[in-house]
Amino acid sequence: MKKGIVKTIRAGIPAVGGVLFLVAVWTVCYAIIGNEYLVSSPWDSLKAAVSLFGKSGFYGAFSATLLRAFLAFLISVLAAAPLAGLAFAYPVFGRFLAPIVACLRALPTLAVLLLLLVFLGGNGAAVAVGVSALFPMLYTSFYHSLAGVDGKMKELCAVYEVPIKRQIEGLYLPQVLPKAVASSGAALSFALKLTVSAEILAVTFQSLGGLMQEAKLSAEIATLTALTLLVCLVGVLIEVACNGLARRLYRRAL
Amino acid sequence: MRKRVVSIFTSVLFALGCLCGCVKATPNTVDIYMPDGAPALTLAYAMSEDREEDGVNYHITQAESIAAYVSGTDEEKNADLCVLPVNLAAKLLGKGERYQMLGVVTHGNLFLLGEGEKITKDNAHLLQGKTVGVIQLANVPGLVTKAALVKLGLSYRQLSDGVAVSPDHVNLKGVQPLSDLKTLGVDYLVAASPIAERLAIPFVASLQELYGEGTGYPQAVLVAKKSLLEEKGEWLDGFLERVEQGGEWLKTASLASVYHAYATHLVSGLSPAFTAETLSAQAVQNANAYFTYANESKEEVKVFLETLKTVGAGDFALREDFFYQGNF
Repeated sequence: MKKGIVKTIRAGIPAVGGVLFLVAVWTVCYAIIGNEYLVSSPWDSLKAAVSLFGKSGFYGAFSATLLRAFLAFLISVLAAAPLAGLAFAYPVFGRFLAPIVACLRALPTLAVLLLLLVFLGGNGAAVAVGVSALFPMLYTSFYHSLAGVDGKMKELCAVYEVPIKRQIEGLYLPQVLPKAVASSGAALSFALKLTVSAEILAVTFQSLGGLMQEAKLSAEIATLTALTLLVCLVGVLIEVACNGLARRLYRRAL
Repeated sequence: MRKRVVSIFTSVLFALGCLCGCVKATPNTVDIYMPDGAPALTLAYAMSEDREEDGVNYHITQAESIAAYVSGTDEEKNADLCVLPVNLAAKLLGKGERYQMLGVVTHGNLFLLGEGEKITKDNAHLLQGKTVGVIQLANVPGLVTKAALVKLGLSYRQLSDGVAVSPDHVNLKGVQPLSDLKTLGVDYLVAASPIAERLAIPFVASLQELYGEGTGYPQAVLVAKKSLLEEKGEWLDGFLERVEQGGEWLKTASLASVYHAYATHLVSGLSPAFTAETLSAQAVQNANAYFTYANESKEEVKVFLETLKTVGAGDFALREDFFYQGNF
């Protein structure tokens, strides 16, 4: 038990070093640039971050943004997972999907934002922007995870005519799931970033993007930085949690 | 390994150096910064007379970053003169410790577009129960629209998804610039010039008329560094005279000369608010660009900021020192 804790602490040291490096770069930038409007002081930003939690409307905006990000992620997973499965099982369908996915991946968000805003409103547009970027990302990741399943094992299943249901349970899921969960963590963190960006563009009511706009408008750069930090922190936490889950699943699959 | 560390360190230093270069002024010259758009037109006459040897540098820059030119801790690097939205100027410089307001350079450029009869102060109640789309509802246009409605005694509410249109309020909705009101799902649209002229929707009112006594509202102000006021007072008098003359000059000057004065002072890489094609006589007129001295516009500024406070623009620590009291 003790050994495990020591190992975890040791493993965490480089990450803490990375965080300290970022804070150091920020502090140096603040000192050199010397312009509160461009780079706010780390201390002021920290104070602003603390005061955010006492601000009316913050919790509503925060939870609404998180909900939009989760919704965008969920829709993307629900669309990407079966389609990637079908594309893997039927290569013709995969070739049919390839240009659609490529188009979606290259789609400039602003170009469709007007359309999305008119038809879906501010809330819907923020979610749709997230889906438009996450779906191709997850589809590709799921597809490559499926394609990476051990070929010899697949052959073995074919020779022994293992039922497809058992193949999925015993072969595909254990091999695909850890990778899928790990990539989902990155995708969910990305979804949060995209949702906030879309909220800023779409002027979404009750959102972190809206609070950022408000902070910018009233030249409260420390608050703007605090909100940015919060989004980063939540994104990192999601990624860390998903990576942890992926490691567990991987160990279980071995 | 050591080489790599040195190269990373040098790259970081170089990047920081580039960042520092964001706000830079040449010593012994007067650097004037202004946001792109209507405020630049007020100074167009002064810019048209710009000579290489006069020691004055004009910079028309991104509206988004204008506040950075007055916020540096190293005063030397800050702008000597700067045009800022009045709310931002009051927020950042309201104590009057480093900069003072010399006057108002633009008096509003927001218009109400829609079909049907013209909206005036007398029939503004027609807006009640209607949905008014506002381009940039979260920014200054939204605040001014709300301020105008408050002045007209109309209550408003902000529409969001799932919120029904209220028959007792003016329903405000944040929208993108589109020429079709039906597609936007609004009855009217508030847009700023020069975007307003580009949308193929008739003008039914000017927010400048609806807000004030026909004189508009103080939109952007010119501020000067205190050290400049002390050291170059005489030069400043002459400069402000030219800025004041700029209002009349805009009425008579050819569009080509206005555009030349504007375009030759844009910072590089900027996508300009005006092009040779979009700078029309109508756009110049709608910019409401003329200079009024601080002593004439002080009360107007105070009232406007008070109204902005009531519509959620935050607080302004405004002191008397913010307004330059000297003789011009």
